[in-house]
Amino acid sequence: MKEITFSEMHPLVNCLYIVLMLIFTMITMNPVLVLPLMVLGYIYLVWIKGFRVSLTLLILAIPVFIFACIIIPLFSHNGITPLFYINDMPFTLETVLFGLMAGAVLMTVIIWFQVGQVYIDNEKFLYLVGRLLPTIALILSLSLRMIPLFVHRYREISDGQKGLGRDKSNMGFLNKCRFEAKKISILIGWSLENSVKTGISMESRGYGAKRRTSFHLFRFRRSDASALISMILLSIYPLILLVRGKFKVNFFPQIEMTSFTAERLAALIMIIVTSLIPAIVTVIEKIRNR
Amino acid sequence: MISKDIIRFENVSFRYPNTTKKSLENISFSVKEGEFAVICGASGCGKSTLANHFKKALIPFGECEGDMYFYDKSIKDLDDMQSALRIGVVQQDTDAQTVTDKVYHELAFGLENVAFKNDEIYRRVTEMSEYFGLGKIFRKDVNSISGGERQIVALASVLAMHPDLLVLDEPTAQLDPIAAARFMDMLVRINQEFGTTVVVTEQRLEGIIPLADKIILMEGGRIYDICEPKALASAVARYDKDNNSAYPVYRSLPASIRLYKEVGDMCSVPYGVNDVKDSENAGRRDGRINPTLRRKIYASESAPVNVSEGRRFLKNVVEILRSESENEGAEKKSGGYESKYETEDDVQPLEVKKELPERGKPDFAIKAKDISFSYEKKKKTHEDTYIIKKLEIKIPENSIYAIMGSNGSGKTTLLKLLAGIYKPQKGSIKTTGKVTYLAQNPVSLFTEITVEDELAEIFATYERKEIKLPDAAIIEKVSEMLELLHLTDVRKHNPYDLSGGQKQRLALGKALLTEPDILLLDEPTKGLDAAYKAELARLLQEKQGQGMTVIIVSHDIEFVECVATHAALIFDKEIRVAGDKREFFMENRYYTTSARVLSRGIVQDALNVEEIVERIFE
Repeated sequence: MKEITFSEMHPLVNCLYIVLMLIFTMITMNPVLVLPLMVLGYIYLVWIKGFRVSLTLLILAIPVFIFACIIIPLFSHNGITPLFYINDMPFTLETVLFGLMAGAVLMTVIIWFQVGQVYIDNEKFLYLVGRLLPTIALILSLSLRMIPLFVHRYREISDGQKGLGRDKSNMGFLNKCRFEAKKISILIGWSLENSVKTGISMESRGYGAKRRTSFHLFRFRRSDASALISMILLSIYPLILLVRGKFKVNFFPQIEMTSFTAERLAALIMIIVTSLIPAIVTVIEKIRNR
Repeated sequence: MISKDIIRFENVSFRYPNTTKKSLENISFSVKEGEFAVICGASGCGKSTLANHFKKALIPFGECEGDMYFYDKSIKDLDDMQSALRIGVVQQDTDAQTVTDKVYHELAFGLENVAFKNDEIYRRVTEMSEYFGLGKIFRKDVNSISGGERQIVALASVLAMHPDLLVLDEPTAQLDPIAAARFMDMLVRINQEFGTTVVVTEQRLEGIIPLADKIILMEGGRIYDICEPKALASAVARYDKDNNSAYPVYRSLPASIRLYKEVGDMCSVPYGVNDVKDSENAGRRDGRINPTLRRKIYASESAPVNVSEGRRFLKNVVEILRSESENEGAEKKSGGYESKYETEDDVQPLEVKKELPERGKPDFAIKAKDISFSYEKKKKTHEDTYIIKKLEIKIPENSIYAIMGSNGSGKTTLLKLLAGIYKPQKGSIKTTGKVTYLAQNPVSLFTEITVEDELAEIFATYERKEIKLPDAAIIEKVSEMLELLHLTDVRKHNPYDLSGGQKQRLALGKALLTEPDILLLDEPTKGLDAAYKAELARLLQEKQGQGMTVIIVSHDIEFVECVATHAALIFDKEIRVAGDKREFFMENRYYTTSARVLSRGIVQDALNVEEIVERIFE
């Protein structure tokens, strides 16, 4: 079963969610915060993208962690708990743990970006940009059309050259390069010619007559409002604590974690509830449809 | 009802920089509110330049005299907002005028520009897509929809601005006949249902003339005549007489109008009903019909503009001629006309002598057996992703073979398979001789700065053991080719500055310089006028005479009828209907020339207007 309810919500909701998750992940290196977010993020990814895509991420995680907890400690020797010595240099527990956490943060960020990619597709991205900068949104939209068009034209050009009897298999390396350069130059000439026409067409359709608006198909519904408000309410308190440094962790010279008090526990629960919003939305939708 | 002029041109002249000849000369005309006007003329006659004068933003760089008025305001003084909202222009190249990535973005583009609020845009955009039936492609990528759909999106995105005046520059040039007809119907609906004034420039006039209120005939930057469809036949006949040559786009006029004019020529009645008396003694051409008969033919009918009127006219003519010959026969007692007239019962499949291949030597240029092709990777190839499926085709040697079919039917893919550009996943293709494939868009071949360099470029093969021709030989070959294709005058021009027909010729020249045995052309007449088509047909037939085999992919029925020896129709991923051209067009009822549609059941064995006239006056 793939998740759709949350990704069909208003882009602002999606955007705030992803931004919050990234902030919670990146602001500290506290394992109490990062680890649940990493696990949850990964579960979401499996949920919305399927297991196979998520597997590639797991494979990517291996070199990241190897780099973080073996390579970093080889060069950084801070910390007071040496595990062993290499060339008389200490390989310390603190750097290993620091590396592990750094790796975990990196992986979590990647995971949430992947989730974000699904929740915020091109159209939503255009909408979000268009709210602030309509012209930039137009340029993005133009380029989104251009890239596939270039690919298509390049193929046309290649086929045309082949049709005139120019076969790559008979060419030496240097000639192959010259030949490619020729094709690219045709592509550029063709596209420039076209873009002049596009420009004229834009002007004739009123481009530049007034400050543009940016059209979108999204509707801000009640459920979007309630999701947005609950996310904001849930995250204010944890954010205040985070900014005040209540979740701070020191790795060097010695690991120091602030003790776990009731207020921090409450904040942690709020963060986790926030991160569960897509699931909660889906469950509510399910119940309502029953 | 008095309606105002929505647009009025007063003595408009235009000259591009660095040219001596004016592209537009003293153009004066007006179009009334709610009218449907068609501007026709050969390519290079200034149609497109004229279409670009309806809007300030589109007027090209150059010297412009005279003035254009939208209602009573000069177009040059109209502010950008007004101009964008009230005058909608759909340009020739839809691909280039599409701006954004998604269909709904494109529909909204103009409305965003004039800063409409989201709700208003939403209403107009949904309204438009509902009206044009774009619901299914509303959220699709612009790149993923067909050419016909893209043309409709371009139209809808202009109409979303609710213009009073809609101007279209050759809107159907890129479409196949069926999509073109659908598009024209759309225009007529807009004109009739909303009262939007429509001005269209066109070369393909078959479907559009009967629908127009006003036809503006252009020639060499001037207006030759402005008339109603009914008067078009006499206008072109007058042109004929004045210039001693046919009107440049005469061949793309509706068959019924051409028939009326040709019959008129035979009867020396070039001016139609009212002028019968004046011209009785004019005796132009060898009027084979006596004056009484003339009067009979032209007294009863006004000029037919559509197929059913054309059929009625033809029936009438045949009837009159038959009764006449019977009278004559009775007088001279020498028997009547033989039955060269066809009745609906006579329409039977022709008996066709099937050519039997000689044994031994190959009788084909290209033979494909059970080929299947899909653009998908092999792993994913499911049955329904095939573009071509178990297709069989045999192209006879030294033929001009036309492969027809609608847009997206796989014609181009088939051609690329035959050219060896793609390899079929299944089946085999046998070729005898050197094959050259000419891409559809000539611009996709151009790299050089001048026309002659462009032709010479073909001799760089980039191969490992490049055989270098001596420069003198190259120069000679290039000069010969320039001569053959009438490009000598523009040899120093940049290929991008050439007209559509010249670009196409230049690309053809490159292909011919490879000296192929088999030449494959992909839509060689796309967007080109009747005069160019006739010239291309002549050139191809000459090359065929020299032993070349030509394969054409086209949906231009009249061109194929004119040039081909064989024709085939691709449908549902394979070729089922194929054979000798005459047989092909005689037996098809809908997918055939308009002259055949017109004469079916009345005159036997006629594929074009000339043949009809020949048969009835035999």
